[in-house]
Amino acid sequence: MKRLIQIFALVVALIVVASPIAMAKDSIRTSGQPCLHGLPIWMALDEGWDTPVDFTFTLFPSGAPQVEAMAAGEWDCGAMGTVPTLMASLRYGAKLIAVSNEEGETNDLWVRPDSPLLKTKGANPKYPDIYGTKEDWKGKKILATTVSTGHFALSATLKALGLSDEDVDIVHIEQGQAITAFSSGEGDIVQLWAPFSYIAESKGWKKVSSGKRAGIKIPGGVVVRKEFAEEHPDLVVAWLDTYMAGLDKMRTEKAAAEKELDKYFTDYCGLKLPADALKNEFNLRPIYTVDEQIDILESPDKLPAWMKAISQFFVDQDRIDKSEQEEYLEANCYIDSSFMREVAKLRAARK
Amino acid sequence: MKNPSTKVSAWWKEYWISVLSLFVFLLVWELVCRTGLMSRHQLVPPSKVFIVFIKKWYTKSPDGALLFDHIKTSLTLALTGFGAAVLIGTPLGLVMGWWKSVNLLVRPIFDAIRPIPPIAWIPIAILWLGIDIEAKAFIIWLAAFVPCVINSYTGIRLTNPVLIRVAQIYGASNVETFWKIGVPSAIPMVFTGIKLSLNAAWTTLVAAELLAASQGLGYMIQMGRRLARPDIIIVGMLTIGLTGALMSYLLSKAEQRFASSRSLSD
Repeated sequence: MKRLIQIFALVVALIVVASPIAMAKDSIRTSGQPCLHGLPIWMALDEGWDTPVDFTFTLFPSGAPQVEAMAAGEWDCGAMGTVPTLMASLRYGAKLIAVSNEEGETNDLWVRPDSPLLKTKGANPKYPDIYGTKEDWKGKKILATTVSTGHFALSATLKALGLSDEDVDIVHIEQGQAITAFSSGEGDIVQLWAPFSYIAESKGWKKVSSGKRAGIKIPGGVVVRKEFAEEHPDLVVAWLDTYMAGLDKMRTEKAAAEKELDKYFTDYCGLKLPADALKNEFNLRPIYTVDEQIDILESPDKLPAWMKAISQFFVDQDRIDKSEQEEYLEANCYIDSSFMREVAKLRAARK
Repeated sequence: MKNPSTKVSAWWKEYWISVLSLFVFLLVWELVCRTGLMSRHQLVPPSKVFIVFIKKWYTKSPDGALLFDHIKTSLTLALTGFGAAVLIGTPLGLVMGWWKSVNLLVRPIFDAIRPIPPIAWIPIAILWLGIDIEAKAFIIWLAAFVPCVINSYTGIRLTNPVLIRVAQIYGASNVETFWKIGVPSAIPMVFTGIKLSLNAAWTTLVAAELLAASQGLGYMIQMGRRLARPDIIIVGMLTIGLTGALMSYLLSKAEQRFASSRSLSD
């Protein structure tokens, strides 16, 4: 009897000791959008990866509410588009720690099959994949979501043709409504981004330009809330390692990743994309390795230059002040490669 | 005739507490921001809002238009939808309230449409009307139409039956009774409905400008959001509030002129 009591006491003690250890696993609140850059987070959760930190995933319909939630301290690490990344950094000091993918080709411009723009391609030899001439584009009514990378792609296209925003009629409209409006005959050209672009493709519309075709880079940002980065850098590294594992899978196991993307869109985002669209998500969006990320983050002519170009676009549009841009550039666009370098070290030690 | 100083004194005697409450509200707001009870990310002090408000009258940055242009666009849009709602909704409500057959004909459709949020109509509005003022005014019209109908209907239904019987005794036809007894009797409620419609029109403005727009107070708020500029958002909100209040005031003056002898008891 005495021995039984001793054994019972030992078991209880072990449980008591173990509980805090089990309960002490760190947790991170993450966020994303119904877009490719949310997939790494989703995969880790959906497939039940054994991760060093636990994390939750909150989906936002677009960048604006995602940034607002970050400002309110509602999430710690997340993936978002370029413009929300810029605003999150400029307004709230968020650190840009990785590039989820490069979205130049998936910020694009579409016309109906009977558009006169389709008669000419490569009017400016420097931009051989842009359709239409200067005269074709001039005066056209363009449905676009302004204050966005899509607008950046549009303006770059116009510039490539020797035009500016003032030479066309740009009407601000949100993406979903742009599809509806263009379907009902409104506008001559519509600016879209994936996954809305794939809806355009399914309707038989024709792509006439994109950010890539107009010579610009549109990096999707992986960001961390300033305070969280300062207080928990180790957790950021652990989470970033997981995120990079997701990107690795997306690069190296495309078939499996496509299935997971389909599930992510269908089950979590409420979208259903055709198989071709799922393939395009991977084929059109470059994804980078850890070493490539470090190079991109640290090379002056890469991410810093890409973000500078976008900030200049907003200055030119009179959306942000020159002084705001100067502050942004002085902070190196809030790019911080230290976390990615730590991931590299972690992986090297793991080998 | 009262002299101006007496008028001012009387006004102050009546409204000092309102002025005081506004002052206290602004003071508390400013202190909350300056003491850090709420971070600058969460709330912008009224002093900064005021500065931005002034600047917007002469600079288009960051949303692309002057405040005057935003107000003008929004007023045009809101008043178009509101005006159409009053022109259609008020007569419809009166007729529904007076003629049972019309009520039975219209009521099922009206009751089905009534609870649908105006914003839900946006995709349909785009398909039917495109992306210009017609579609946006339609969204506002939907919001403003309902209270016009309901209040007109209720107002005429509240007509004193004694007056109706007196008219009938003196040989008035149903139509004559409608115009001479029913409609005048409904005036107070009609104006109440119009005021509610105006509020509904104005509060739906942001939703309406979710459609394609390049100017307007709702558009300004959206741009403020995209640019993470809460100061712009608040300026837009306050301008909507002040402009709406001004229009309500003007409508109240009109009501006093046309419905003073039939005012509801306070």
